[in-house]
Amino acid sequence: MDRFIFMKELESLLSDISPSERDEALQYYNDYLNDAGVENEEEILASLGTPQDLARVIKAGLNDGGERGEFTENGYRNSAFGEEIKQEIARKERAGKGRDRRQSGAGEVRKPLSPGMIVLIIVLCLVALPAVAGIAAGVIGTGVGLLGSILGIALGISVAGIGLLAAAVVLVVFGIAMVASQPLAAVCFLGLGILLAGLALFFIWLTVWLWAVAIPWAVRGIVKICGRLLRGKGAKKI
Amino acid sequence: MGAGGRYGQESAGCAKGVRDMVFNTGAALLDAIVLAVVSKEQEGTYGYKITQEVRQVIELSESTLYPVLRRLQKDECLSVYDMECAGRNRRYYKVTEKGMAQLGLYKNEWKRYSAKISIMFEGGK
Repeated sequence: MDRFIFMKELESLLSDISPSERDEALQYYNDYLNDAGVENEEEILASLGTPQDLARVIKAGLNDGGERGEFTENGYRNSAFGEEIKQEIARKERAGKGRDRRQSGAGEVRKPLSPGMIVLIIVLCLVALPAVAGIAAGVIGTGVGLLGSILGIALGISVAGIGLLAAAVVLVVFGIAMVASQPLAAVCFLGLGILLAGLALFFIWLTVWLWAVAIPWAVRGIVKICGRLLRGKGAKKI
Repeated sequence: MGAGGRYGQESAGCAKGVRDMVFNTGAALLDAIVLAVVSKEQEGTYGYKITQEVRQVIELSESTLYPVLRRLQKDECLSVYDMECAGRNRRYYKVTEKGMAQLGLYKNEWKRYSAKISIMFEGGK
């Protein structure tokens, strides 16, 4: 674009600012082109952008005041297009703020509800407390009972095993003692004693298995079931 | 120098010997550079020359400096006068007393700031 057409266009584009500002700007760019020399004119006019771009930069500078918004990190190198960049930034900021507002708005909607919700939950808890406590006690009681019965069975088996072993020992001792006087009875006693010893061994093995494997497993299972029931109730309650 | 180019997109072409800018120059630093450039000339200097000198250290479009000079003038950091040169009036800019004070402030601040950054980069404490 020809320099004089460029300046004429710029002048008309700046017609809405004060005459002193307009003259100042026009003089600056006239000086600038004069000082650059005719040989650089084209290049400089090209880098100034269109008269519209330049007018925008000049007007943005006027509104800039002390704020210097135009020459922030994002703006100044492309200041021929500074206004667009500024607007873009402003748009982004607005969008960001809008998003924030929307988010905080949602928070505000949730907040007024939550005191009511809390009161409701507390009331529900208070009303449900006896029932919940009863259920919980039942569940715990059942668990303890089950555990107790298993323990009882295990204990019984252990005692039975020990008793059988003792009886077997007595029978074998009697059998050995009677071998000379009453051989037939002795053989019966010995056989019975060995049978009881076998049974005792079986019970002892059962006892060991119960204490080592079955009871820990049962305890874990019952605790798990109780916990799940209680948590389930709790979750439903809340 | 592509008018619409963004940082980094024209990394191959360096404008007038100025390295591509990795760091942005904020408003205060640009003010400080302009004041420093103008203060070097006792008799004052003019827009085109100021622009060329500022461009030795930072990338700058031709239109950037006018609003800066105008604002510094309004802030009374720069004074202007017209001097006839080759049959026409040329506008000259000179740093005022207030401008010199401002420049001193910027220089101190820059020294402090750049020293801190250098220490950080060099791994000192």
